[in-house]
Amino acid sequence: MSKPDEKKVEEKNISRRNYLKYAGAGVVVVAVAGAGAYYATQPAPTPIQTQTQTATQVVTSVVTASPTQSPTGINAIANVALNAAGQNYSGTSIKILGEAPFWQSLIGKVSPFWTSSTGVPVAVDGVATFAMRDKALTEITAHSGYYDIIGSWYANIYDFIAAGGLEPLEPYIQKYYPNLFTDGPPYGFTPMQLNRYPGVNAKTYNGHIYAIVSDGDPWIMYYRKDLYTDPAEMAAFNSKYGYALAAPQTFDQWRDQLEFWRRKSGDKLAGKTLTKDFYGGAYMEGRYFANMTYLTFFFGYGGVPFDPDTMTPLINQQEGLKALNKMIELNKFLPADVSTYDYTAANNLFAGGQAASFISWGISGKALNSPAVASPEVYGNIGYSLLPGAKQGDYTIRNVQGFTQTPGVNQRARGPIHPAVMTMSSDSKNKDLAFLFMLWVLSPSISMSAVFDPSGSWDPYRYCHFDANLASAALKEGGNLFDPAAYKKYLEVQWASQGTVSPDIALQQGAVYQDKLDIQIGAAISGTTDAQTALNNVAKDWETITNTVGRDTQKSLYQVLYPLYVSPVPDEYRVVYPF
Amino acid sequence: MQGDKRTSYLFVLPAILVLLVLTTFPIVYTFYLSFFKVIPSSFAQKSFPFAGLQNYITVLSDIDFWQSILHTLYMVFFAVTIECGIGLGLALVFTREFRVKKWVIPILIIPTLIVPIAAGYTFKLFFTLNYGILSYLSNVLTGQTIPWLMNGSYATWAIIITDVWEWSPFMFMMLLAGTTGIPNEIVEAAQLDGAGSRMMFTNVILPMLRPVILVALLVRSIDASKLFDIIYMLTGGGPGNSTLTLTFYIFNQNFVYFNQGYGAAASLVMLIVIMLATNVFIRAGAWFPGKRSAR
Repeated sequence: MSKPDEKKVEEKNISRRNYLKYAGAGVVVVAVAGAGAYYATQPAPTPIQTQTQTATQVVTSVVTASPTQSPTGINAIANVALNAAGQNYSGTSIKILGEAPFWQSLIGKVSPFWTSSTGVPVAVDGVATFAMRDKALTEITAHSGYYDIIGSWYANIYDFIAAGGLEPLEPYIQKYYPNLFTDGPPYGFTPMQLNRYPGVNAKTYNGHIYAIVSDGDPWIMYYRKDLYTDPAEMAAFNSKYGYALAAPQTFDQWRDQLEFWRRKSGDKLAGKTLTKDFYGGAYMEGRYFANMTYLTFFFGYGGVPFDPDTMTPLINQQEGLKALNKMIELNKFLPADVSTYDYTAANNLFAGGQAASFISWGISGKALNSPAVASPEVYGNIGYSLLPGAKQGDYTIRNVQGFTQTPGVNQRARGPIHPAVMTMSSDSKNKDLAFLFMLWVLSPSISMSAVFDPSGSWDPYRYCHFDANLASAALKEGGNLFDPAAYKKYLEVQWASQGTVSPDIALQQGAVYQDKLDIQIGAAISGTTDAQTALNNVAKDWETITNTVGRDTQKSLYQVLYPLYVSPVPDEYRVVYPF
Repeated sequence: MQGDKRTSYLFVLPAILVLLVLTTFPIVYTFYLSFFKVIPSSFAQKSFPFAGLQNYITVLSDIDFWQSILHTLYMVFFAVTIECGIGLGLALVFTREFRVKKWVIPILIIPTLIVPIAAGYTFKLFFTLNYGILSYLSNVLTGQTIPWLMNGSYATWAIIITDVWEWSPFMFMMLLAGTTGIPNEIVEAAQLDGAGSRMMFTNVILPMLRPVILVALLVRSIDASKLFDIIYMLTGGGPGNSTLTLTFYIFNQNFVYFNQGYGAAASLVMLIVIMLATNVFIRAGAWFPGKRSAR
């Protein structure tokens, strides 16, 4: 028998170079495969136990309420929404357009409970803050119907309405929960959010309601309590400036304090030697943010954007110029690159212990009271205050019929406010379902978890959100260790601020007005142009926009908003904190 | 023969249809839109309000539009010139053989592979005043704090530097392909005739590279004139409007301001400007010293 042919094994010499090449490639492949296997087998992070868990346990005890009877209790509205949705929409889904990453975080946190109850998954598309309007308009004008719910800063809704993109909500409110805006304390919407902005909550626009508030969003001041109460620093300040050191009430005091706190590396601060430069403040003056910081000064000096009778821009009048000059003057004491600061950069400067104060949205209060965000010297040492304003005699008083003017009162907290809202797309294929989800997620119980999500961007807007005990319990469940006493002060300031600040320029193309303002403020701050020329350019651009949209169209909306801009703040807006 | 002709038309028909849909239709529709007022409120009406030539008049009378053209020309000129210089220099170095050449070339072209928005964000960090590496280096070299992103002139150069970093490798690759195509015999003949390196470069290499350089400059110039991502990340067109380019201006009009009739008019003006500039460029290239066609 013949042996099977033996294959002649050919010996092949391998060069050292090729050997090293193949061996190296093999090592890389093994390393990558190993890393991939390691991460793939890591367990998913444990979901944070949240207030929503507690709410869900209660929510599952279903309460049936007829539309004419107002149910009671913190879970009532959530129950109404879940009852109405039932399992009737299983197989469909809800798509939401929201601000990245905040809306994804807070809605992602609460929506699993909605899904488990109704069988309806919820997907949130997050878009960068200043791209939300563009994205929404693109979808609306294309009538894609892709989104059921469109999140927005409220000032942008007038463009969406003008494009026919928003569904009026009052029929759904009437059908599912007619008392949505008549419920008072302890769970209803606060007076500051209820009846101020046309088309939002209880205030109609062209006879309709288009949006429900999901975020209070005022600006307040945060400051280093430990520095402001340091005896040596207080004595030094008093000696230099002749008055006691405290959170600034006026722009001039603000200027003094920014100058006082400006220290270089190696100088002393509250008895310690600094290893980095220290500044009086951290402010947002970068592209897309500068206009908001500017409006703090503008509204503080009693400025109003337009003449209510003619829509002539007033941005370049004395209040506007004072505001811009003051802003430029204060920049001397701020970081040299403050004109590039967005929210993150300004927040990080303060959180990193390099600034004595910081003006920002309310969400900073949540973030800064987390040891993961604030450095050790900042954590637990944050004070809260209204924004400074103009001193007596330095702001323009405008008489508005029906309001009691109180001249001589310092202008406080005239910064911008940008409440975020939820709206329903008129092209949504699941309108009832979309409304029920809005009703559910904005209900008192569920909104507690959403508003107090440490990673979320929503600020308080219901009475229960301002209850410090409820709020700090909700935050604690989210892993945020906020001292209830400090949190109460934070909520008091938020409450007062929401009542007195002025809204964004909320007209059709409002975002365009503000973008044009932002560009020229940036030019003035960088020294490219002088302040008066910059403001004249703004006025010219604003005239063009007004003429493009239609002067009468803009005037009719602006005249409704006008009382929100005038100074001093009308009495009805100064609602006392009730807790 | 007729059948062959018909068949050949049938074969190219799909490509022509695709071309028509993807290029001709958008241009025609943009032209159409440019005569209408197209803002958000227009979409709720039965048809867009007719604006006639108003959009074009507004575009041509908008100082921001003309400034954006100047900014674009400035950035394109300096960015592309520097990229060409760096690309040519590297190409000449890499025509020679050396040991690690095939390892170094892939590393050199990495910047071109990076998504422009990522490059823009990275350089934004590099230019940060307090902790950016480029800020630090520029301070060390000049002894002064350079406000890279806070001053219009410096911000323009920050964009140019970022663009040069990202796209010089592209020029390098194109010119390297050109240099490797130069016949050795010509180079050797020139050497035998006593040509030094300078004469070799100006009288042999450069003329032979002329077509490649022209194509590379043209492609890069057109591309650079559309620069958007880097500007969006670094400056957003600021400070003020000092780094606002034509593309960014049109983007703002169309998508930020949602004034799409106006944006359409600006887009068409930009198209005409680029076509004219390309035409001038190609004609100017004919005067580039070098090989001329034999009579």
